[in-house]
Amino acid sequence: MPDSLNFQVNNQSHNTKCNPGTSLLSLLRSLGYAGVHRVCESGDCGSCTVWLDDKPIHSCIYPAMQVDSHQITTIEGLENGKLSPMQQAFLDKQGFQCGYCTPGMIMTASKLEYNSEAELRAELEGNLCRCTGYEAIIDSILECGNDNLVKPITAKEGQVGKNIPKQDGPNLVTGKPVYTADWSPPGLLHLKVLRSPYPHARIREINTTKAEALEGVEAVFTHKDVTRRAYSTAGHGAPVPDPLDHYLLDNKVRFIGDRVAAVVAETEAIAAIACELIEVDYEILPHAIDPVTAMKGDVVIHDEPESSQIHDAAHNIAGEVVLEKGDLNTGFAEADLILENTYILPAVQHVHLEPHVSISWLDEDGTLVVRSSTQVPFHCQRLLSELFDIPKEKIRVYKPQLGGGFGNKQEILSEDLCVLATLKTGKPVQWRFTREEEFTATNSRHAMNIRIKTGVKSYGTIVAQEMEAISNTGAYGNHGETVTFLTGCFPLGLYRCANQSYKGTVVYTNTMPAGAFRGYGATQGTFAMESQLDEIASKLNIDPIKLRQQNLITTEDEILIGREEHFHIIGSYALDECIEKVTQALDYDPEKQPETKGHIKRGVGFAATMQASGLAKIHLASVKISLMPNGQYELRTGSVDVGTGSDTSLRQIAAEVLGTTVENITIITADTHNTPFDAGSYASATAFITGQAVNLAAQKLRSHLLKTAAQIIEVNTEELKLDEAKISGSQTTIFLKQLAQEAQKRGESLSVELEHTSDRASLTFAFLGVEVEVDTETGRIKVLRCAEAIDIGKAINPRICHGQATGGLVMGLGYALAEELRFNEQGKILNPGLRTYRIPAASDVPPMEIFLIEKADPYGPFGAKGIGEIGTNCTAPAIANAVAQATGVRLKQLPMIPERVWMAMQKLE
Amino acid sequence: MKNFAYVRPNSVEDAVSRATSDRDALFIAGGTNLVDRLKVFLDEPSQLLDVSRLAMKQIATTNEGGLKIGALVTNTALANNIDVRNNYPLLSRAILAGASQQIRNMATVGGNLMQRTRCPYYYDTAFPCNKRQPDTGCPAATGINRIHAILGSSDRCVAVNPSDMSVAMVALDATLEVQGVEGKREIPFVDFHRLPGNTPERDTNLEPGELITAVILPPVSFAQSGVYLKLRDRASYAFALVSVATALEVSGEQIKNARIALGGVAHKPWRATEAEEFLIGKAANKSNFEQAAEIALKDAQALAHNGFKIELSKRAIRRALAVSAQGGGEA
Ligand SMILES: Cc1cc2nc3c(=O)[nH]c(=O)nc-3n(C[C@H](O)[C@H](O)[C@H](O)COP(=O)(O)OP(=O)(O)OC[C@H]3O[C@@H](n4cnc5c(N)ncnc54)[C@H](O)[C@@H]3O)c2cc1C
Ligand code: FES
Ligand code: FES
Repeated sequence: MPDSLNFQVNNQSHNTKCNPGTSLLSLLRSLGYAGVHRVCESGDCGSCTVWLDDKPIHSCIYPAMQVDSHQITTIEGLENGKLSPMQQAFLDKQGFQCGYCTPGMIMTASKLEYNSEAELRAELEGNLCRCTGYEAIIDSILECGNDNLVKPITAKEGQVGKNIPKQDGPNLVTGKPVYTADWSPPGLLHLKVLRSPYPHARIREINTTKAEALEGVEAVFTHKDVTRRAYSTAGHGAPVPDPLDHYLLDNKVRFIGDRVAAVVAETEAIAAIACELIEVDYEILPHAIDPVTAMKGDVVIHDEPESSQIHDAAHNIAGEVVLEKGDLNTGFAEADLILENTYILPAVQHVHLEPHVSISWLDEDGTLVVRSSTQVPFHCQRLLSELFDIPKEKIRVYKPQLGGGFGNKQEILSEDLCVLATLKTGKPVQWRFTREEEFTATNSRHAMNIRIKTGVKSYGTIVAQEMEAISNTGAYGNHGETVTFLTGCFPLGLYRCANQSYKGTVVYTNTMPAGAFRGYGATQGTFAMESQLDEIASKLNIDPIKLRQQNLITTEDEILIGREEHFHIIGSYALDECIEKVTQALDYDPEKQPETKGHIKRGVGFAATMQASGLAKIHLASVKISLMPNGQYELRTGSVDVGTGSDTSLRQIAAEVLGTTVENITIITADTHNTPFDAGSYASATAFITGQAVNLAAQKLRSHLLKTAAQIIEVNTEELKLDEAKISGSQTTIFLKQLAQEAQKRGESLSVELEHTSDRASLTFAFLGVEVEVDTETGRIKVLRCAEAIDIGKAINPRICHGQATGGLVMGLGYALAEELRFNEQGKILNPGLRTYRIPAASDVPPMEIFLIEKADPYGPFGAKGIGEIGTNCTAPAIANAVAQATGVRLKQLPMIPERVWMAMQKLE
Repeated sequence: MKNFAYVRPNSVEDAVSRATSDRDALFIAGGTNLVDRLKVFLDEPSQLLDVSRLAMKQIATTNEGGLKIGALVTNTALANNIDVRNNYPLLSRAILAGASQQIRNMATVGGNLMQRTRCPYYYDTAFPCNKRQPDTGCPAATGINRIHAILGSSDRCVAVNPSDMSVAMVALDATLEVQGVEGKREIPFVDFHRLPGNTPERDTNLEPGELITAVILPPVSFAQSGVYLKLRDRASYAFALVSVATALEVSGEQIKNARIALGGVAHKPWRATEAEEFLIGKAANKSNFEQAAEIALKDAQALAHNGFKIELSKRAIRRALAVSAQGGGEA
């Protein structure tokens, strides 16, 4: 064995020893090159790409031992006094959102040779991105080296409505250590969890002696070491609507992958080996994988008395949603046509590239600090306080840069055991999920079976609709009922129909839990509803666009279905304009027959959707905005930028109100000790609710500044104007810096803190059209192009909104065409990796035309509405509708993988 | 990963002798397949013999007018080699249809031909698997088997070989040059990979300790007509559900020579000899291609979830042959 490895990284020599099993990725990260990101560790995603002697490689599957005498270049080495051309291009064209894929993308892109965009997309196959939909990435690469590029505006310019660059950009394109796992306190221990090999079992006995005896193991915890207290992992405000059915560690396991015991050790590897040394005697119980079987109640998944808020534990029903209006019987009696179908939606995974990771430790003054990749720091703080009986003030939760979440980090999954271990050992502890754990032990989108029965008049008016969803929530009920509520509420609410009913049943099974996922149930319901509408159109021989226009709600209508306490409201409405834009963009002609060329058939399809902006009266945002002694502003908000760019948009809002620019506003976010409360980043709420809080606070600060200035310079407030760095009257001027210092002398604070909830949750609407090509020989669907229009109210930062739209659309594309967690009879997930669970790559993505339709909403800041989730809903139904138009085949099950399409076509033949 | 030693043999002979004396040693070249396997404990070698620095990186023209390709030539270098692109375009396309740029930059010819199946049950040590641990059972046979074999499988193993390059190599009648302690020998490519039979743990006919040193391609006069058609779940970076390599020599209306090989359908790259023979002397038309496809798949057997692959393979063969008949190119 070579004694030591001699090699260079970014022209700096290294001489180290390492274990033969180490990957180059681990070696580089241990040497401090944090820009090399760990995502799949199997060569499937490209986030770890570095150059080996100038050639891009995946460092995660390159044995460190082979690096001897080679030259490595990482993202940190590209910058040479200034950004490399590719880094600059990514910055200029904003080829990133959360930034987790960015270093790898840049390393690969810098060495690509291609002759066309199609070739470029194909060449980029080794690099995955989950946020952007690739459009901005491709634009960046294509623009690289183009000197005539119109330089983007900077933070010095413009405010609301301008494409201010995402302010975290420079850190992300250079691979700075900004994510949770990139920093830790000294003396860190690592936590690993032994997971259940059985879908349903009681732990009779558990023996940890051997594990504890292993050198390097600090402690082992089982259910015997924790207080038995039921809670929900869902990140919701108190009182939580979810069943309280989860335990830190339990004497029962309810799915393959459920937690059995936790080990903390000096290294992850030791902890993993120790897990294998734990001896567990399981009493294997019968299990239920399928919700319909589970509802019979032969197997009871939550039979423990401590759990509460479960709808009907004896039948494994976690929750039930019933919505009704009008009278179905009367409605159906009037109908000329009644259609009834069932749609099958799979469980899918978020695949945020950064895994769940938390680090906890005790501060000098005994404060428990939790550094975590979370969308909900304040809910996390509350839960930890309840679980461990520690006052909230003694717990600080904060989040560094987030590498994506999509709902899966609106969940408290990794913080709890970290904290347990820190409290028991007194030492800093980190818990990082492996990619396999992400796939098998976090949450999925709820798999559902949705039956819809619709009655229509022959001329197309919908007169009755009955919808029923069976929603598989897996082993725990987190988010079950709230998600399943939206499955019926939004799709049904979108259409004017006097007689509607919805029943959603949330069922426990012995599978991985389902949870929050972009679209939050509406995605599933939209597929069913929008598919069926097209079937009706085809049966009645009505143009599907016309049928929709005839039945869609408008400003004149009230939202009739739902629950009153949700206060969904049409604040602004531009869905008609959305439809017009999309049909025009695709040159839609209802008379045109679908094209057929040999084995290729083409068709177009459409879908509509709506989604609310935040939760009315529940989603609370507090912000604090202050004028600092240096004459600049500081904005503090507990809100979480998941990578979308909300930290930039919020500063734009403040800048607009204060007559200044983003550059003059520092932002401090998502830290329970240093920022005021915010419910967190979910339900498309940040722009609408936190944004409005910032707007109101900035307005208040503005008046306050003017008033104070008026006192100091002794003029009337009305005479004064605030702009950029000063307040001026007709005669006198006072600079903000002076003002701040003057106020300080007088002991006055130039600071405003306020709380905001919205009385109304404004609805955002969207419409999508796609053109597809179906290869009738292979069943392969290719989306040729698509156009989406979103009724966004006001785009605070159009480029950021555009990125949300393309990212959501492509996430929907994966849901439509490829993604599905596959379970065996035991409920074990058979494709727990990026190789077997495919998310779209650049070459899977069609050209996308996005229209942001701006019609100001009275409730949002500057008229803005939420946009975070809506983009995901329409892709699958629009594609299914296009396939039906092209081939006559109606696909009612996702994903529409080639063999399903093909088999459906065989049946038709 | 378990602990193991890491050794850098200083010659082919040294490597072979070490591997022969320690049956638990494994060669490592690019590492892209092996490291992946070590991570999930599929292999637990005593030592890794790093052959990546040995001199087997040349591509040379042979006296017969073919090519001799060193086992350590990277996939990228082979796909971009001018002689390969001109004379064996099908090989170049097959390689580029596989993996990613980053992996092709590391992956070697020898390693590619030796890569092991991607059967998810083989990859997951929580399951039994006859390939991983003889006589433990084959959960794929009754489990989710949509990607599994439709040809030549046994009741002990239904895995498929994932290599794209191998499909091209078998279509091109390549020969392997391997070295053992006794010296060099050659193995025709068609005989290199094995069917599972009762010993699915053995993928190839390489003897313990033997190292692949080169692949030899004979000249193929009609290789220009070569086509590689890969059908998979997404547009890129996925293993084949079914892939087809074809080449045709057509003179006038008549087929003089035909090559058909299938990937993703069997435990080895599958040469459809009978279908090739059928085509010889026939006209290059749709109905003959259809019949050839029927012949190629006539012994195919479906498992619970992979029946679609039979019809898919037939269609792929027809389409690839049609393009080959037009002189080759993208199918
Ligand atoms: C994400 C991913 C996607 C992929 N996609 C595809 C694809 O679509 N199509 C495809 O064909 N391949 C694909 N591959 C496989 C890839 O091509 C192989 O991993 C690669 O070719 C192996 O070459 P290597 O040099 O890295 O082999 P190594 O990993 O070094 O070795 C692989 C095996 O071969 C043995 N070996 C290596 N060299 C020799 C030799 N000279 N003689 C005898 N034994 C030897 C080793 O002992 C080991 O068992 C993919 C791989 C990954 C990780
Ligand atoms: S982490 Fe290396 S390819 Fe995903
Ligand atoms: S920006 Fe690509 S994964 Fe988030």
